[in-house]
Amino acid sequence: MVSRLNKKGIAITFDWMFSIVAGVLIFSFLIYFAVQNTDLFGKVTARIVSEELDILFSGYETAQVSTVLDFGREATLDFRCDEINKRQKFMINDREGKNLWGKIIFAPKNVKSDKINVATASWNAPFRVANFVYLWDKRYLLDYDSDLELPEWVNPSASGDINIKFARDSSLALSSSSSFDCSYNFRTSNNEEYDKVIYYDKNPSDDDVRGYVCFKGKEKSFFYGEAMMIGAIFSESKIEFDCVKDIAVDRLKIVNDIYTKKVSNLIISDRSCNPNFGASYNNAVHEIDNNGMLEKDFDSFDFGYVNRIRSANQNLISTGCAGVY
Amino acid sequence: MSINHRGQLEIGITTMVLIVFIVLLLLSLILYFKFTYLELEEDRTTLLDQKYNSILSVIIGLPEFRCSRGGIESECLDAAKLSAFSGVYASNKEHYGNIFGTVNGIWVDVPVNDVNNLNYPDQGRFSVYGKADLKGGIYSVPVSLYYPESKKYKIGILKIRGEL
Repeated sequence: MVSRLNKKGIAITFDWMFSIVAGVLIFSFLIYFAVQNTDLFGKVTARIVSEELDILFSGYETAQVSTVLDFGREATLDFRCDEINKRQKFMINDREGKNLWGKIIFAPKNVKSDKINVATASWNAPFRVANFVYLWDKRYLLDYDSDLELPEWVNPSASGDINIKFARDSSLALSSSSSFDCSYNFRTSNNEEYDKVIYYDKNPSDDDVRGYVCFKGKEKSFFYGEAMMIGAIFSESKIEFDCVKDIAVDRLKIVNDIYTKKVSNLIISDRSCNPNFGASYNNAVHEIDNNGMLEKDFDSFDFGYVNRIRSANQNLISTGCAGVY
Repeated sequence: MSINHRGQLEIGITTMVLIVFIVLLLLSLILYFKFTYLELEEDRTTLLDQKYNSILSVIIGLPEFRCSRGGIESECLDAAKLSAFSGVYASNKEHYGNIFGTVNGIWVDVPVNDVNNLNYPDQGRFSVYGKADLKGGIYSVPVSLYYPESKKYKIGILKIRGEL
């Protein structure tokens, strides 16, 4: 009787041991799979992808590139520009996003594809201010004359989701923002209205451009430089374009500030230079007083002003002084 | 054994089973969250590592530091711009704070100059952002420094002190 009870006790003990060991093993297996596959409803992946895209965009802003981002499956990038705080933000797959500090990106509000085109172009005024980054997924039908040389990657399609007309207008050099009007009567070959019309004038010194973008609804927005004009191709609305443009102009002020302070260093330390060239050094940067071009409305930025800065810099170099840029 | 005793034994066994199950479940949840947290920390470290390496190449390419002559850029940093940057940074702290993020310090050392000399062009260290003497790992890359007034080049070391 006693031995039968002992055997029963041992059997129960073994049952318990087996159950606990089996339970631990099963739970360990489940934890392993849960840790490997849990994505907190896709948020972790989206966060990691947004951080990696931010790092990628950082690389693009310092190099001239033209490439395709292949996500392997359809991805949605949403771009927003905050006009008040002057910052851009992007979101990936409506889940996670990041602020785009220091980057200037022209893109439609919504870019949705498994392969997204990316390219960069340098914005010079006249020194390099930044590399603009462009992202797009749609096809663009660009109607322009041969005198306008756009980068190869702009790739005008034979047919496009968006139709854009480029019209050269030499009278822009004499007109002001208030006098320019977006009334036009351009029509596509299918007799449809263009989505945008870009009026431009060329700088005879360096072939750079300035002009106005006319969005649908006849809303106009000024641009200076080919890089900014290309940005107008990919911006969907005047509000978005103006917001990104304001960020670019702020950047121009910062870079000009660097050159202004560099001038102070050069005036003191450039011993090979005639001290009377101090005035020339100051002519090679944008004026920073309240009457300076950068403090006025950016719409008044013109070729003559930029050409004077470029000439002053070239004069410095040709006379043996250190150039400002 | 009487029926009552057998029933009580069964209840006891079931209760024990439930208690053991709940204990095992709690231990599993603790282990799960611990492993998930460790994995996220590892991802964060990897991303920060990539970010700091990216910042090194971004700084070399920024027009605030890049050297040029007549508008044509070269693969070097402009020492006059580096020296002038501290004044610009002071009035744009938020802008550069957002660009450089969680970096503790960014600076360029010029080994041939005295590190305590703060006068351009004999400056031994160009401080770009933050402080050099905080904690954190250092990411560095050799750079060419161009001195526009003398049209000479020196070797410099661009350093970043990261958060970790």
